[in-house]
Amino acid sequence: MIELIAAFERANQDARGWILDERGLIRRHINVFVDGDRASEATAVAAGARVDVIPAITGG
Amino acid sequence: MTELVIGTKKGLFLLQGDAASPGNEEFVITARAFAGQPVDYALRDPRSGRLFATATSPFYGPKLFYTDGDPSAGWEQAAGVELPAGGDQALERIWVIAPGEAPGTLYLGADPGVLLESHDDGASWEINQGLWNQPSRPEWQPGGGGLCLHSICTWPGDSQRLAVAISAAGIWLSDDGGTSWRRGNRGLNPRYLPEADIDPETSALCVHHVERSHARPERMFMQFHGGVYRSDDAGESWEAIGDGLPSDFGFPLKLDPADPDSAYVIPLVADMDRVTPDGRVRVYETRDGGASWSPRGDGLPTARAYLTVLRQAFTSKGSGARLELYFGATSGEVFGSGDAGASWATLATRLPPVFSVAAS
Repeated sequence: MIELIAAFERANQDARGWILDERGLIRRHINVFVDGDRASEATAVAAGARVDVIPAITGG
Repeated sequence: MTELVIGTKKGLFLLQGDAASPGNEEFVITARAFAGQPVDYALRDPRSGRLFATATSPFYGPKLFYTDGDPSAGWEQAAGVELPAGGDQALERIWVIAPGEAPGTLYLGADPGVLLESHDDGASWEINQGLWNQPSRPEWQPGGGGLCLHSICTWPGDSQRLAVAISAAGIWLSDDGGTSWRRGNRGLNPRYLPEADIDPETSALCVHHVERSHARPERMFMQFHGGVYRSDDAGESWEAIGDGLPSDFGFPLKLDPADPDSAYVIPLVADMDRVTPDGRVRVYETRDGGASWSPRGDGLPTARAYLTVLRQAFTSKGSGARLELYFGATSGEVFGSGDAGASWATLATRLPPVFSVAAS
């Protein structure tokens, strides 16, 4: 997963730093799903899988 | 006409009004941007006219944006506002932006205790390596608001001399444009530490805000976490000047650029309460370098007012008898004076909690 998002941010400079922080971790209130299942940095992504990147419902 | 640039918990607000008689002519909201997002700091650079706002989205992290046009329309994201990639830390929050002395130069202070600089009017930024690589950095302790670099003091006419303050890593001084840094903490008394453990080189020193006198740059004033201080040697050493205040705890501090003996503070009850003492809102002024303090509250709430004023929520414009002072509170009120604090008016009510106020 982490390689996929890093490549996406490299290819889309406007997105740089919006999903991953400087440590290379997915930001705390961003959730990532692979084929509908909650995923993490280490989740494997198969060819053809659907990846959704969704901000959490947080705030105050 | 004065423009107030106000960062709040729920976005950026621009207000305009007549500074000569605040209260006689209402300040009006002329623009709002970043609705719903915490805008921690915002200002307009008087040299370029460029408007800056920092937004710390809970989702996407801290970002810096700028616009040269209508603030209700599009903003550009500044490049390079980040820590070096691949480390074990991330940028947490942007605390302050300060125009530098050299044309096109600006400085930015952020958590975790980092200074960034721009030499293209704020479009792109890079981290100050001298401060980032301080050997003692692993021992720096954060204050309650994080490891925030919140005060940046340039030296009028000399781009090489800088001072920055970090809560709780104390004061840092540079004479070579930020290439090298040294501490400047002698004389500070952190009353929250056992006396035997106090060391100006290693103690956690919770500086709340620092300003440098424009008229006499070697003179500086500091609001500490318990204590108000003055330095007459460019921040190398400090003398306590808080006697005469109802509380020497607080966050913001401002100076009259025309008078090196002047300072204004907004005392709060120390230090677990952090509201205006006795339910009264008063700014305290010294005109003798801190030897004495006088309350300046004519027009401010006198009862049932338990306000908190944050460190970036107090600003000034002009100097001398026409010095304008403005501050906002977490209650959403904004107050202003057009006569160096002699009289005050309420300029806005029911804004979101105010994080920062800048005047231009």
